Amino acid sequence: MTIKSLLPLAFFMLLLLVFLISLDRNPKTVPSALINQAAPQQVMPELLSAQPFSPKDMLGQRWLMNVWSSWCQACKQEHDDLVTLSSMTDVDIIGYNYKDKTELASKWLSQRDNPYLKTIEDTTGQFGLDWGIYGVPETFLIDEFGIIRGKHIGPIDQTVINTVILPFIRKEAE
Amino acid sequence: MMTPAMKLIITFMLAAFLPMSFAAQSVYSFTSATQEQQYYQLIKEFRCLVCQNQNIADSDAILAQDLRAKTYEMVMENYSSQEITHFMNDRYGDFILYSPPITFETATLWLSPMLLLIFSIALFINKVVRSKYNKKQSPLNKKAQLKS
Repeated sequence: MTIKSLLPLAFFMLLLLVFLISLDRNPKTVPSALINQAAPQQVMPELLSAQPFSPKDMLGQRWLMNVWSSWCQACKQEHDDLVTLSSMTDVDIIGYNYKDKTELASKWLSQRDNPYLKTIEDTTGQFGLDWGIYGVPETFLIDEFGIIRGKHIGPIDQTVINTVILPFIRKEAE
Repeated sequence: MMTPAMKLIITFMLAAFLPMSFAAQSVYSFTSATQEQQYYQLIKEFRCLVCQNQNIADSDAILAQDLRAKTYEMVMENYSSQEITHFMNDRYGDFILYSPPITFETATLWLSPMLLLIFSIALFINKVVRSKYNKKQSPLNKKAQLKS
């Protein structure tokens, strides 16, 4: 048997590998166009105090921005893990309340532990366009220079915290 | 023959489709036909991110409505189609474009089947030619030729 006769088999195996990897990919996850880009700079109102908030306020540290809504089921599901994350580490999480009513959002927060340093409000979704938000929940990972380094689409769970978020936060300490 | 009960059931079943036909589009008014054309052309070319495999013109999703509203707003502010496409592309990536640009990834996707086909044909021809050549050279054939 020569190496040449094994070539078709090798090719077939390669193809099989490509298909196997593709099976695991979720076509519903849209990769963010903003990775390694500066975070949008518009000033948004805070939910509870109506004070202006700008992503510039967060320069100098790594932080997370978690997009949520009171009408979103998956947000309820991830909330406990966010609370754990905020108590476990000293990373600042900014809540981004997306397409919600102010009363419903503040009620939602008052009924639970609040993992957010601040919550900003986008009742119409007008700011969401600049962030490339297309659903809730989404979580942005932003570095100390205000550059978006990652985006997690869908609810956060322990696996995501351990494999994505903690490594991101720890990089800062190095 | 349809019984009255059947008629009634069919009426109700059809009625279920009624809201669909109304919900899809909010009505926009334009100042010129060119703007209107530009708008309808653009929303056909943007892909909806949540419903997938639907453009934002056909989609009922809230995000699609937002993107239509933004497109309308930009059309009315006299942005060119290219600028609007660029704006959407910056925020939502190539995913939003129904005609994505040629990048390494898309080129691989489009060209690899063709290359594979050309390669296979070349391989096939090569084999056929070789086997014919071998037949001519094989001692068995030579014998057969001598006999005749």
